[in-house]
Amino acid sequence: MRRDLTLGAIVWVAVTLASLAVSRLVIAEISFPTRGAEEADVIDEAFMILTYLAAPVFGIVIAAMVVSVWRHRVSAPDEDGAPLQGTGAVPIWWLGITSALTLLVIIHPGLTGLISLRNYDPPDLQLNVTGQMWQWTVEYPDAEVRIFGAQELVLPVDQHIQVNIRSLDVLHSFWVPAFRQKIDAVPGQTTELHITPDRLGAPDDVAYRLQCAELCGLAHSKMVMPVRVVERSEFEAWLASQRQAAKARP
Amino acid sequence: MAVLRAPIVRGLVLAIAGFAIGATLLGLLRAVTGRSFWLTELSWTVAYPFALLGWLAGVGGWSHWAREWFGRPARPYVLTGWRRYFGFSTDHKVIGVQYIVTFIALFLIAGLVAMLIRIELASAGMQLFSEDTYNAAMSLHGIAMVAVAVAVMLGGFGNFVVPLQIGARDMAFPRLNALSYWLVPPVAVMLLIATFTGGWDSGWTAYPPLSVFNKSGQILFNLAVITFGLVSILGGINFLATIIYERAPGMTWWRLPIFVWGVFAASLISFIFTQALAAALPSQTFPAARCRRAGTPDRRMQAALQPASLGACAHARWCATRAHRPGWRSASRRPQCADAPSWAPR
Repeated sequence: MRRDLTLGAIVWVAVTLASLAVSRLVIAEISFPTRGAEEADVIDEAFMILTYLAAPVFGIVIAAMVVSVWRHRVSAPDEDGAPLQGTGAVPIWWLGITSALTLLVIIHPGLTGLISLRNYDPPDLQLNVTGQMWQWTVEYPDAEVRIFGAQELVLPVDQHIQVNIRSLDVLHSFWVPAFRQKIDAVPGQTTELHITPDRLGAPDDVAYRLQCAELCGLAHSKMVMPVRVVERSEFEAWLASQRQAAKARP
Repeated sequence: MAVLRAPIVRGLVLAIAGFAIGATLLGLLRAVTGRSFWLTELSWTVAYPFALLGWLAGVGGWSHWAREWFGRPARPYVLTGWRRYFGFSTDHKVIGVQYIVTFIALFLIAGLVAMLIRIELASAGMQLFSEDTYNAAMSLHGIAMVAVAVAVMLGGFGNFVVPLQIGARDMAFPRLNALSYWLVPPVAVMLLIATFTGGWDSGWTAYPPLSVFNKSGQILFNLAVITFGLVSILGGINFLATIIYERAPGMTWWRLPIFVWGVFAASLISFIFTQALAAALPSQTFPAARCRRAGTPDRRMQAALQPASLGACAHARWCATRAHRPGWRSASRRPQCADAPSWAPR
């Protein structure tokens, strides 16, 4: 029993340390798409907390497997392996610790993250986004400008943008990978998202696209709108040119 | 004619006969009221229960069980050797093996579909599939894998191992156990028929309103999932009863192996929550009734059945198009909304 525990502990610590190293050096460094908004930090941090917490869990599963296979092996098929001796305290500790960890995760990256993503300040810019099979339409209500289809969605940098999302037909989902947040477009409801882009971005980066993220039928995969984040002055100029173009149309 | 005495063959024959009877009954009813005899979606919906009953009766439900309901003694057939795996067996080990082998076959199909999806995704653009068949393949893969994950563990390993681990002679309800297994082949058959008649493209989640706008394959998907829900509810009841009442003396709750606890928890979940799904799915399967209800003031009922709040405009529009074209649809419809803003591109 003591040798089982020693072997298990060694494997657990080794696998946990290795997983933590991989999480820190590989996952945290190379796996995220371009980070384009202040709110992205909340989501990336939550992702990393969960990844770090998963390392010891992964380690204990591997340790239990190694101990079972190595120490409780039988030499003949009809022979029983050495019996596992357990006590009532182990399941109770197990239940207590895992429940506490689950509650902790619900509270810390979960509830606190949702609270910090909610922004009650008056927005600098409002966008009305409508999903339909199979394209996005974006309206700038203050400027009376509308864009749709393959036109570029242009946003100003360092501004608090409130996005109001609705749908004409089925469920869609508003998702720009660079901004990390994602919310469903539900027919009959308006959902909202608060985004503060804090760096410039162009659609040649795959993270800068407004992609539908809820299966919506035939051309769901092509329900994409390119996104560009520009300086405030450039944004105003673009908006003015769009307004001109809209007036010129019959 | 020995082959005709094989339970599966008998089941197939009675299933086809049941399907024909159900479809004809509905067709006659429609012909009498002055409508077209042919109506493929509703025919499937009405004929399927008849086919299912025929299949279950033929495969052994009649001789092992249902004869008793009519005051006659049951006359169970006894199969030996490999044949026992192809008949109505009440032995929990046989049923466990039946579940595992069936689901490994389904697992293989789903895995091959996944490989087709990966081959398609290996380079940009569409080569192997069209967008439509891609969605159909993805949906089949999804539901087959989810069904496999649930059923192999619960039905297969649970049936084989749980009675051994708790010291029971068999499951609490052996005939119910056999019945739940024999409900599984129709699920696989319906999913495959749906795929080969155009598929459905709302994934395994089948969220409304997309699943309501969908192709007719969705109806077969709904029928298959309702049947699978029945498997899961009946199996759940059986495991709960077995674990609660059939434990050997001395096998107290705190001495139960962890696997039995896992099966107990999973059975509790499938017993309680599959019923919500089972209550919601018919509202998608009989949408004509829902169209009529949309006009009535019974908003509470409507809200209960349509939690995803179907857009009112899209819904009315859908009901209108539906009335004109009641036949089999092999392409999903793109709803056009009368009250969409004028700027919305059509």
